[in-house]
Amino acid sequence: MTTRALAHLRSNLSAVDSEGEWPDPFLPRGLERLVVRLFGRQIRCAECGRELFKGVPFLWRGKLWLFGAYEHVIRVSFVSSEAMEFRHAQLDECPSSERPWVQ
Amino acid sequence: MAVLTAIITHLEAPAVRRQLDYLRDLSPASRFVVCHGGSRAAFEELADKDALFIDDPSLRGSARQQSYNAILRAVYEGRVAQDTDIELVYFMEYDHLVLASDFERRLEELAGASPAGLFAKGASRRNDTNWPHFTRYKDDAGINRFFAELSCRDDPWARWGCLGSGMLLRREALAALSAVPDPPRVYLEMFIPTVVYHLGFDVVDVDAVSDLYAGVLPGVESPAQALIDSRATPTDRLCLFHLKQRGPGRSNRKEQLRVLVAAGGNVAPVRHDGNTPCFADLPDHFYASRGTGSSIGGVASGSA
Repeated sequence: MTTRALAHLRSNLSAVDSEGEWPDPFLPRGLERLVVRLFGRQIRCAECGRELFKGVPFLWRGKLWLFGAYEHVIRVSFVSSEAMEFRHAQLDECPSSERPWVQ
Repeated sequence: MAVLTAIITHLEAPAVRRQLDYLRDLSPASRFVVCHGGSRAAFEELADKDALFIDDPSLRGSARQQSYNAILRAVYEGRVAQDTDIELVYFMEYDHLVLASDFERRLEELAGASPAGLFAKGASRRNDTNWPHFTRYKDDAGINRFFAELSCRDDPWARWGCLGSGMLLRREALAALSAVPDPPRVYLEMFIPTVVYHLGFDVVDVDAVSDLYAGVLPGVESPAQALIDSRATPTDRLCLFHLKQRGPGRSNRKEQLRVLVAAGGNVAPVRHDGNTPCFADLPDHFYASRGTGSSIGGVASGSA
């Protein structure tokens, strides 16, 4: 059973899509990944507390860039005059009593 | 409350036929209509009374530009308008696998949970998100003007998003959608829920009112989790539909919806040329269709 499951897993890994179009990168993808890997901090969902992604905030010419966010759909809002919070945008990623099936 | 299930496909005729045979065997009383966006030759070879040819070039081009405007109009005008029994229309793509014979009953239960016009997975307002289909259209003056002129809401700038496969539309919402004059060709996952919202219908996330899609796993790591971490609960729930959603963030997430490998199951999603797997990759003993075309109209990297 385990062997069979691992065989399926290998098949699935082969199904991973190539990188999609990235319309507005600040840094080359490889460099951004390196920056996130070296300096990334956990960004957690304000609702459920689980990690959304690892990111690096960076201010540049009036924009707050958040390296590492591109691969994830997140909801963001100001919760005070100087604080922003992030949440899962997809309910099926954010556990609640209404969705006990969310892992 | 009758349901019509619309299957959006581009596959060659034998593959579509096998898929139809499977669905008709699974649920003989159900009504299906094939929306064929592939080649004209494949459609003509199919020769099925329940098939419509969708002559929309956006279905044969870049996945990011795919529009369902022609599909919605064809289904409404070709099937729904003259059949007053149909109250709900369920749109699913060709790699969306229905497993339960009572799926229509469960869709009706879903529709009973809310008077909304559209039920879809992941349906939500996207203005405060980094969703790429929101960000790439937000400064498009023509599209913003279209929504502003169309909207009956107080917030014509609202933009919604949802998963493209598995949308359940109420008859009235589909009628209103198909009656929109000269709709721009905008990516369907943003366009359909946003138009439905601005036409005055509620748009509901299926996960907010039902566990219908509880088995659709988010995140590219999900199959691995199910298989290795013994976290098989989500896949155990794959009793109704067999879908695969591998995370919503990138621009081509919709076409990553695919048949999921269940824990210990015998289905493996495999890349299908570009980024679109299909029934072609399913083993014959498991399922029916084994497509041969690489994508819609033979152009790689498209999805139905």
